[in-house]
Amino acid sequence: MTPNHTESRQLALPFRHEPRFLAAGLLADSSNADALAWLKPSVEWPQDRLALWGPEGCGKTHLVHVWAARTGACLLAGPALPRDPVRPEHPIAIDDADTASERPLLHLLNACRDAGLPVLLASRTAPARWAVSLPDLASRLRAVTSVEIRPPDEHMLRALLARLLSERQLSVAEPVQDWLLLRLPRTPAALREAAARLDRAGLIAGRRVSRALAADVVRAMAQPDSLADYEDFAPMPQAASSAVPCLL
Amino acid sequence: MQGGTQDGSSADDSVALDEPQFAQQWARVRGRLQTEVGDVEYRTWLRQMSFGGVDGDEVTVRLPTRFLRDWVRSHYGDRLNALWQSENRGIRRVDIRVGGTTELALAESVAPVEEAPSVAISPTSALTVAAMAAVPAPSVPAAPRSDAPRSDDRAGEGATLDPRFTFDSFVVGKPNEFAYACARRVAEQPAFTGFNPLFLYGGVGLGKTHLMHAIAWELTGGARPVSVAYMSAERFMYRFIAAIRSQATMEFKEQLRSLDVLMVDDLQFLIGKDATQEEFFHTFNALVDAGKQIVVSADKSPSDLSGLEERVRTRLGCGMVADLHATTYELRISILEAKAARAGVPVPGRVMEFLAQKITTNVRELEGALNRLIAHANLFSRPVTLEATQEVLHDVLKAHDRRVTIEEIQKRVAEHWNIKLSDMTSARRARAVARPRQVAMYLAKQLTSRSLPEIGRKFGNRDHTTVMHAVSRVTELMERDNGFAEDVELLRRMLES
Repeated sequence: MTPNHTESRQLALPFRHEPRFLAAGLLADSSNADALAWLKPSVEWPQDRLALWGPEGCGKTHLVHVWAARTGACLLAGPALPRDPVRPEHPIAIDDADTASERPLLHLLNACRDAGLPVLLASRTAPARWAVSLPDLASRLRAVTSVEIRPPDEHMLRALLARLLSERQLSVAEPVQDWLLLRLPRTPAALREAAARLDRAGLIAGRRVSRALAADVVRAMAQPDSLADYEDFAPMPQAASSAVPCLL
Repeated sequence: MQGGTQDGSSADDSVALDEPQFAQQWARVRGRLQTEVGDVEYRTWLRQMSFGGVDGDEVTVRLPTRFLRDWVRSHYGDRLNALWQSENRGIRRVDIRVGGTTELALAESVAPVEEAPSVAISPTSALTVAAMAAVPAPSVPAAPRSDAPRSDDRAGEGATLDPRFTFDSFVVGKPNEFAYACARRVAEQPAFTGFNPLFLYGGVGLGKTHLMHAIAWELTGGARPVSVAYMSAERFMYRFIAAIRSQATMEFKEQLRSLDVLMVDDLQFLIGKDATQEEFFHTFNALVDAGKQIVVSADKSPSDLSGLEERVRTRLGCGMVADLHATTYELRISILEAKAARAGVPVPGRVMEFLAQKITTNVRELEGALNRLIAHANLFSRPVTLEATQEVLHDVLKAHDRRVTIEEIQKRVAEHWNIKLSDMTSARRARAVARPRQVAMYLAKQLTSRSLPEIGRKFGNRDHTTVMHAVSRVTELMERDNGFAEDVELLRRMLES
C-alpha cells in the first residue's frame, strides 16, 4: 500500500456491502404485487411449487429470504444443491435455481414432493424456458406455477435508488437523485451499480455526492468495459458464489 | 414510551391506541393520507406505518426500518403533522421513529419472523446439507398432508402417496387404456401369473407415477392388509448406499424381502449404478420367487434400456409390459374436463380447446397449466378466460420473451402512420412526423429500459428533455383523445406480442 503523496485521496478498500433481507425492507409495488400475493401464508401453490422470475436486481433474493425466514425453509443456492439424494425435512428455497445442475435439482424436487414439502425457485428467466436436457426435469419445470416480477416502474426505481443509497449510508440530495434517475438505464441492476460507484467515488473524493460526481458516474457507466474496475462493488452478494456461505 | 404497546404503568399521560378515539383518528389520518398520495405511493412507503401512542401533545408513528423512517419523515412528515392537527387540536407534533409492529408484506400476521427456528437462514448461518434432516421441523403453513399415508415403511423410506393419484382420478383414453387395465388387474390380484413384474413405460408426464400410486392406494385401502413400498429408483439407491455405510445391508435386504408389493419408479436412473442394479436384481428375484408383486416404471421399454445389464432387462420384460402413449387431442380435452370439474371452477370450453391445442407434450404439463389457471383465478378472484390464460401461461406458451428494441418501435410506429423511417431521426418538425416520433419515444420509454439520453440519441441525437417532453405530451393526449389512446395501445400490444 503506497500512499499517494501528490494527492490526498483516501484509498477506497473494497468493503463488501451486505444487504439485509428483512421482510420490513421489502418495497411493494405493482411490479411485485403478484409475487407478494402468491407468497402469502394462506396461499396454496399448485403442487407445492412456485417459481419467481425476473431481471437482475428486481428483488427475487429478498423475497426468497423473507419466505424462507417465515417458513423455516432451507435456503440453497442453485450451484450448491446437494449432489446425493437427501430427505428434506423443511421447505426448500433455491435461489439462482437456473444455475443448478439438472439431476440434483430433479431429485430435490422429487424428494420434496415425496415429503410433501413446498419448494420455491428464483431465477432470471421462467423455468419453462431454461435450457434443460433431462426430460423429466423439463416437464416438471414447465408445470411449475411461475410468477414474473416485472421491471419496476418509475416510482419503484425512485424508491429503490433511495434505499440503495441509504443502505450505503450515502447522503445524496434529492435533486441529484432525480437527476440520476433521468439519465441512468432504468433497471435495478444499473441503479445498484450506480450506487456502488457513487459510494466509491465519494470515498475517494472524500466528500458528499454532488451533481458533478454523479455526472462522472453516469459518464463512466455509459462506457463499455468500464465494469471491470468495479468488480468488488458491482452486484450485491446476490451472486451465487457469495450467497453460498450464508445458505446451506 | 418504548414499545409499540403500553402497559398502563408507564408514563402517566401517555395513551395507547386502545383509546378508541385515537384509533379512529389514526385510521382517518391514514385514510386521508392514502387518498392524497395515491395507492401506489401509499403501498410502497406508508403501509407499514404503525401507531406508537400519544404522549401529551405528541403522537408517535413507527416504521420498521431506518430507511423508511427517514423517507416518511422527509416526504410525508409535514402532511402527517397537519392531518393529525386537523383531527385533534391537542396534537402539536408527530414523532416518526423506527420500531413498532411490522405489518410484514408477506405475513398476514400469522408467523412473525422471530418465530422462525434458529436455522432460518440468517446471512451468517452456515448449515451443512446433513443438517437438513437434523433440525426440528418448524410449523409450516403448507405442511405435509397429515392424512396422506406413507406407503409401507418397512423399506424405510417409502414415499408419501399422493392422494390425488387414484384410479378414479385417472382419465382413460386410447393412449393409456391398456396400461390402466394392467394396473387395475395388479391392484385387484397382486402377483397374478403373467402380470409379474408389471413394467410400465412411456415418456415423461404421461401417468406412470399416477398408476403406481393408484395401485398402492387400492392395495393399502383394502380389507386384507398388504405391505406395499413405493419408491423412486434414486430413493432405492440412496437407501442402499445408506445401508452399506451403516453396515446394515442385511436389514435392508430383509426389509425389502418382507414386502408383498415393491414398486420402483423411474428405473432409468439406475443406469450406470452397477452395485445398486445388482442389489435391485437380487431383491427382484427374491420377491418374484416368493410370489410377491413387483411394479416398475421407466421411460423406455425393457429392451431399450441400454445401460442396464442384460439379465436385468430380460427379467424386467418377462412379465407384463404396458406402455403409455402420447396423448391425443380427445384425451387432453377429457383430462381437462375431469380436472376442472373436480376443482369446481368453471373453465370455458374455449380455454380447454386452447390448452389442448397448445400443450401437447404430456399430461403433467397440461394439468400443470390448468392448475396454474385455477389457482390464479382463485387467488385473484378472477374468472378463467382466454385472455387470462394467455397472460398467466405466457412463459409456457411462448418460446421466449421478446425484448423490444427502439429500432423495432420506430419501424412499427412509422408504418402505422405511414411516414418514412428516416423521419424518426430527421429534424423535421411538421406535426405529421413529429407526433408519431413522440409516440415512438413514449413507447421506447415504456417498453425498454434504456435511459432517456440513450433514447434521445436514437432519435437523431435529441436531448433527453425532448424525450421527457414527448412522454408527457403523449400521456396528456392519451387522456384527452380516445382514438389516439387506442392507436398507442394497439401499437404497444403489437410490439409486445
